[in-house]
Amino acid sequence: MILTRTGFSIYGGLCFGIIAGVIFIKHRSIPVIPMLDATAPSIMLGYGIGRLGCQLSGDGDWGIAANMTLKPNWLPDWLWAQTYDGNIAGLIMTPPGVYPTPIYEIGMALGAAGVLWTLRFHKHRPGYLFSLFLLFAGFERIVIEKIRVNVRYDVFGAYVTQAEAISFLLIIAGLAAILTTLRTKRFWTKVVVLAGVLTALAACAPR
Amino acid sequence: MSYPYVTDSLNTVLGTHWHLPIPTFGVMVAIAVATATYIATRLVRSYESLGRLPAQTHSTVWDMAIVSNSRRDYRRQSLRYL
Repeated sequence: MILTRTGFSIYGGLCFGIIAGVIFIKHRSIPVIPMLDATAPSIMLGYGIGRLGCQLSGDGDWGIAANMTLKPNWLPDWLWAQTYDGNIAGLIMTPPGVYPTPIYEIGMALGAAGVLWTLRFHKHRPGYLFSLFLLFAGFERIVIEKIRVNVRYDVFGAYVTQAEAISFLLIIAGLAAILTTLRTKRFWTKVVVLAGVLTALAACAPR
Repeated sequence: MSYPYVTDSLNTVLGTHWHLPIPTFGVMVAIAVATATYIATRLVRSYESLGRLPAQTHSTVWDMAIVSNSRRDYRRQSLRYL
């Protein structure tokens, strides 16, 4: 891995890495769900650092052509558009360039890792922290796919990227797990969580 | 500006013209794995003290990160066959 210039699919690594990890810890007779909770903040942090690698190396994980007319005045230009001179693909971009999506992903991943770390001693059932991780990972990617360059596929009439489809599954799995692990006697708390997540998902859904 | 190789960033900072085939992305992934494993080990230790995980679980975190067996366990398994 250290000898390749190009990136690799984060979701392949995430899914099969977690499956391999679960098999490994079951083999060692360690409780799986508390272990997943313990690793959730670090996976998100690692993802953020990995995206820093994407940004520095210019491996092609950038966004669509930036629209400078939408840029807020207070925001520096490099946070809105970059040309990635000397990138791995050898592409030459005309100024102003493309949205630097890895920078946005670094911000979101570090923010999510911070939230997960803050909630590490939660009072809910085991698995709650990992459920939140699934939710954050799904939302982070489904939001960034709006402005990212990726191939779209026809899935039941909706044109979605592979990452959007996987993110959708992650969000649904995370939501189901949160409702299962949330320790509350108030039924309405769960209803509000369910409604909030589904509303956010509907807002982010590809059109 | 992109820096596909580690030496690209060094050349920009130092004004040199070195070239070593060490990709920036691979180095960042290695840093990500090492940092994440360190943080996970810390949290596993905390969970051990709270009783959420059995004692000494933290010793397996590095093994899990690189998916390997520690030498100690390898030796224990080897002794089992004697």
